[in-house]
Amino acid sequence: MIKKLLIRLAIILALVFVFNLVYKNYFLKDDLMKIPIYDSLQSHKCCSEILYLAESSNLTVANTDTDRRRISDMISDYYPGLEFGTVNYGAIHGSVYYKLMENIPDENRVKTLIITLNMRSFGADWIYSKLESLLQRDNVMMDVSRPPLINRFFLGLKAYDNRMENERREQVGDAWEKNILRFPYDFPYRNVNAWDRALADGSFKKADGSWDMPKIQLATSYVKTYGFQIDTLSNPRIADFDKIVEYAHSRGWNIVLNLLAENVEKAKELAGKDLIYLMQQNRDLLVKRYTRMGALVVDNLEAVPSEQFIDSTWTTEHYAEKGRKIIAQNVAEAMRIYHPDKYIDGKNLPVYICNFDVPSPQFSAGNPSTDISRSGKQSCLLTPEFPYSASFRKLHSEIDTSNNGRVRVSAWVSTRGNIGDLKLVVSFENEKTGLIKWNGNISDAADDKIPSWKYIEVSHEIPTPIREGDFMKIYVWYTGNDKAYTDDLRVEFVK
Amino acid sequence: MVAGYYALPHRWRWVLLLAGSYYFYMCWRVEYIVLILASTLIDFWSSGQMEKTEKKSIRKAYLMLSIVSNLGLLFAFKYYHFATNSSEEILSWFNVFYHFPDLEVLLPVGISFYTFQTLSYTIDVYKRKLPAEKHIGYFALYVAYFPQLVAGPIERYDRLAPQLKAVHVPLYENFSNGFRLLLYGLFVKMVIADNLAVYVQQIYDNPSIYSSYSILTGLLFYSFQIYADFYGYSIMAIGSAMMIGVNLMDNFKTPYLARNISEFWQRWHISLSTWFRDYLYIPLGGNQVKIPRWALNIFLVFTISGLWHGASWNFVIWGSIFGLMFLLERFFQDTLGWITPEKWGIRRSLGVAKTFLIVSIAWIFFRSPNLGVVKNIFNSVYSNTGMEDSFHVPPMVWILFLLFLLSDILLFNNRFDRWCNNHPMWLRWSIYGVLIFAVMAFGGTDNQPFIYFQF
Repeated sequence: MIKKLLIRLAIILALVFVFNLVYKNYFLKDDLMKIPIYDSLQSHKCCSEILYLAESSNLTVANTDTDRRRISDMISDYYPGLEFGTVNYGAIHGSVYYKLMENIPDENRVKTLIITLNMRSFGADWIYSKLESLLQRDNVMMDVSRPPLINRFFLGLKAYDNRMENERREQVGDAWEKNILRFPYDFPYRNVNAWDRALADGSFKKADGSWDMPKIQLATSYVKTYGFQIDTLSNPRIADFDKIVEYAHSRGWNIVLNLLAENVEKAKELAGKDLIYLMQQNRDLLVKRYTRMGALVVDNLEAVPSEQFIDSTWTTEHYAEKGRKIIAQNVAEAMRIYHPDKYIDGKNLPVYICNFDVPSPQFSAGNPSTDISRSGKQSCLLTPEFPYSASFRKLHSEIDTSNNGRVRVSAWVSTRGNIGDLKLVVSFENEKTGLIKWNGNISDAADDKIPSWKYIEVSHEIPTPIREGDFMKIYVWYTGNDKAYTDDLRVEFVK
Repeated sequence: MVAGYYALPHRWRWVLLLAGSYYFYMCWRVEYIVLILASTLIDFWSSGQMEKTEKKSIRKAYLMLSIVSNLGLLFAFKYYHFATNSSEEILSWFNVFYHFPDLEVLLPVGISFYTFQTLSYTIDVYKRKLPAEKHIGYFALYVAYFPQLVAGPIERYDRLAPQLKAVHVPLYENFSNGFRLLLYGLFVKMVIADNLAVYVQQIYDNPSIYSSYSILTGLLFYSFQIYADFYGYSIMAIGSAMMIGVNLMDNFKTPYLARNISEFWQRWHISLSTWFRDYLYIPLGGNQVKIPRWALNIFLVFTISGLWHGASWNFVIWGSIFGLMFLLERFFQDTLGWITPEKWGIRRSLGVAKTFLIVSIAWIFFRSPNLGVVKNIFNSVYSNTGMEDSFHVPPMVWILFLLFLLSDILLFNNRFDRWCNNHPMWLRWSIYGVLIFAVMAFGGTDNQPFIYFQF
């Protein structure tokens, strides 16, 4: 009987081996593309020299922002000679970042990884978040240590931490009860629950003597979110980031951990110095631990003023324009040690990028398409009916030409037809007299890694003297009869 | 577990199975093991006491102890909210506004299954159909035997206990058949039920934004989702038990090929139907009473069966629909001679279609969280004809669904393991190959707990 069983077991294993090849060749791609974060990584993993992995801190902008670009785009202002890629998705954290890193192929151009180190993600509220089951589900398919068919099988079996929402709530409640808060001085509350109850029992009153419920709710929210002390032995995020740093080193990548800013001013106002003590203690631990492990930790914890936090009724790391710029500058300047020759002072550098994924205020709308993209999800579709891409338009009087004034423009283009039909146009015109100068260029510089995308660049001095009504217009023009796409249109004013 | 079972001497095997069963249950929630232990101890003790005495009144008292404690647990954990909410509603009709105390408890997984299983034992001991078990270990194992603990089949003591006590040796046939059932069960649950669930959920979440065609597709899918979900579990339970030589009863026999409602319940959740027949319908008088009383009994049994599934009016209505349809069918059969033949042909096909239609309509009450959703579905089916919507079922899901339909027809009055035994090796292994690939590559990805776990 044993022999009979073993023969059958061997046949089954052989079948599984063959099925794995079938699955890998015919079904895997579709399944992976259902994971948005993985899909996003595909656009960047080969060509990016700097890869920025982040959660919603990089996605969110304020309605009033003039510059609506992401933090990662703003960092790229300081390194115009380096190719930046951004992978971001709401609520992701260390364990997802690690899986993403594992999915970067051996052949890649990555030199530096910038990863957000979100302090909140070390707290129970996030560790046991209701979103965790979905993230863990996606992680299963991104596991590179197993054959793809086995990953898919595990996904079907729901062989991951797939707790229901009520179970997650219980886990959070347990953590708030069991994690004892320790201070070097007398502190009246043993744990978060006790602290929370004390605040909820009436910490804030309005002028008329009634309870200020919104304020109380916000205060308790701050305590629940930041009222923890990281236990390096049991905190799963510590394990994740330890692996991230070690793995980055093993792949030869520089690793920059961007410790995100929290609304410390608000935390102090609502919950007092005790909460700040915990936040700073956690910050110190993270900075020391990962600096010791060889990562570059950029401490932004207290860098952003309170008014730059977009959400005022709950705790997030969503910053308005100025807040994003502060973080970008801090990260960019800190990572000069890795790319000293590529760094420029990008603080006030007029660089404008249109990636067709997030709105760029200086560019007109264009014709966005999800057919293909070089970065993110969208590019700009060009057809005989719509031959012009989104265009950049700026009055000369708005440009600082004091330092010789050149404009360097680049774009990535792709077409099944004749690549020569695509032109990157820099046009200097006057509102009254019309065209002054026109430059349409096609470069044959191709990116071998992604043959379908070609890079075009034009550099042109800005004509002087400047007269009233002079303006420049920059766009990609398609003169062919097929379809063409352009992405990552970039306008930079250089000295 | 299987390896450990055969490795151990026979006298210790029950310990392994019992420990494994309790561990299995505690994986869900540790503290609720107390309920199974309480049920086990009370029933073991009361049945022992029943056997010791000849006095019927004393025996009855012990029986009542068993019934009250088991149904009491069931009431407290499953029906308390329904009973208090309904009572509050009824009292409010008379301008009496009373709020019963809340009982914040989670419904223990499988409580309806193991309470009914252990109740059948005490009733049988009371009726002297069975001698009381002397070995508490085997009795505890009967109550908690892991393959069928949380979703049946609801086994009878005289079928299961002797098998648990028997000396089993490893047999190739048992492994082979057990593997076949596990494989087919995984296919039915993971590939069919879990994939269909996504589209069913979509429709039931907001029926009004979908066209009549999409809603009808969703309703069709639910009929097969619940079947595949429960049937899949049942055959996996049978397959797991078979690996250690225990034959659990069949719980399904291609129910959607039933000619009428009566036959449907002889093919669907057979262990529950027979439980209700033996422990409720027959004690109420069975068919040995006058027709109006018999009709009332039938209606009552189906309604209670509905309530067994869930504590809400939806389930009561669901059960009542079956009761009513059963009586109507019997009326037409007896008075007009409308008997659907057993032999396949146009009349039988029409009978199958009619039964499937009734069952599918009844499932709407079963699946909907409340009667508002039921109303919404009926309204939307009626009014959303020709509407454009975003409901899209990928071709692969249709292919898998049709594959399941085909396999179910092929397995008419049969079971996958037995069917395999009658077919050549090349065909068997081709089918295993398809099933293995489907299970590994096309299992549903969303978390879909077994529907019947909640009962």
